[in-house]
Amino acid sequence: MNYLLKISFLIVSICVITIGAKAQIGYNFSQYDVGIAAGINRVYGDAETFTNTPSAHFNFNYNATPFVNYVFEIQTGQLKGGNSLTTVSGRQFVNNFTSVMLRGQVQAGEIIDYSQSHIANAFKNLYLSTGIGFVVNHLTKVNRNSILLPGFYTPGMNNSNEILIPARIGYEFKVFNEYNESNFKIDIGYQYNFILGDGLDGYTVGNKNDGYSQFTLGIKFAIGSAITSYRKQIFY
Amino acid sequence: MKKPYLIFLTILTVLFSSCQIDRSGLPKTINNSNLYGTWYLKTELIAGSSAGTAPTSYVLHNFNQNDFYKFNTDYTLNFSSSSPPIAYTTYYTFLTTDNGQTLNIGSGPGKHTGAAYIVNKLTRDSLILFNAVTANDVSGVIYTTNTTLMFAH
Repeated sequence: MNYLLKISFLIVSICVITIGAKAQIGYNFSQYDVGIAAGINRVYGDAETFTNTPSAHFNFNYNATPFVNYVFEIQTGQLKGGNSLTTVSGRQFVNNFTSVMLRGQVQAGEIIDYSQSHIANAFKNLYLSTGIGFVVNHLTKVNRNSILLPGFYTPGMNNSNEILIPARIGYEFKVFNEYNESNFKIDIGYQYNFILGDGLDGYTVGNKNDGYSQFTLGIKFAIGSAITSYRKQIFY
Repeated sequence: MKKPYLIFLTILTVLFSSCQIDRSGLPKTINNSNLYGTWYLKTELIAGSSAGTAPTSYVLHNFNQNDFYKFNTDYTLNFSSSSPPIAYTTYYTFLTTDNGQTLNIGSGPGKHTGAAYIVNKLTRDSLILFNAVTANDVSGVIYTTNTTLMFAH
């Protein structure tokens, strides 16, 4: 009888523990994501007019927590700008670029308590990000002589590599599965890449470095199982 | 709690204030609405000089309604001349340079080369352009020709 009681107590205990474990749903997250994104780019350099151009992005993410991420990203696409016929400088370029960068990313959920407020909960996925990288510039078209101003020539290099500092603000919609684990994310953001050089548009002139902005929309998929537990509940 | 918002706003300001063209290396164009429109050539002063000879000068007034420059806002210029009779469209730029305000006019067809003028006067109803050319003649003598063009609407 005593033995039966012990067995019964053990079974009940296991059940209670299971219920307790069930309560942990919503805390787990996957530490690795892979993602793809599309971007719309615009160069801020020495050419006088803007042109929006597309780019493709591939990234690998290490999630230290659900809200602190390290992103390794490769971007490739085209950058364009200027107009050789209608601008006085005559500058016009096409840059088939590739860039590689490593960013650290902190989402608001890491520093705010979002458990008591719907607004805070909505803002928990808003993030800021920065890091370092480099861009490989390959100018396939570049006009250096002005038509409107004969003799006006803009020098520069057709091929160059330059260091860049990305600064990004964005929002990561986390899509949760039946276990309240986020295995799929939609990432939307605005990024400005400060170039530590003046060769993005192929023109080395003036006293400011070049840069390019990006509006991006991407998706990320968790890889591996969500076995890492966060210190607070992620899903509300 | 205010600090994160302050950082957030600072970063946003830096991000969006960076979105500017670098204008420091561009030609310093002048946007003067007085220039736009059709200017009819009224008078041309030509003064020539060369080493060892007395300066010569001419004043020409025999122009008509076919002698004009029409400056458009898109940097195009409609050029027309009665003698020789010709009309074409080219480009112009109106710049600030070390020599003052200069008007560069692009070339036309054939031998109609472009020219760079110093703008001596530009008001609503008067435009005076000046151009000095120094060259060698066939015998190697250096001569200078100063041309002043006076326009009115």
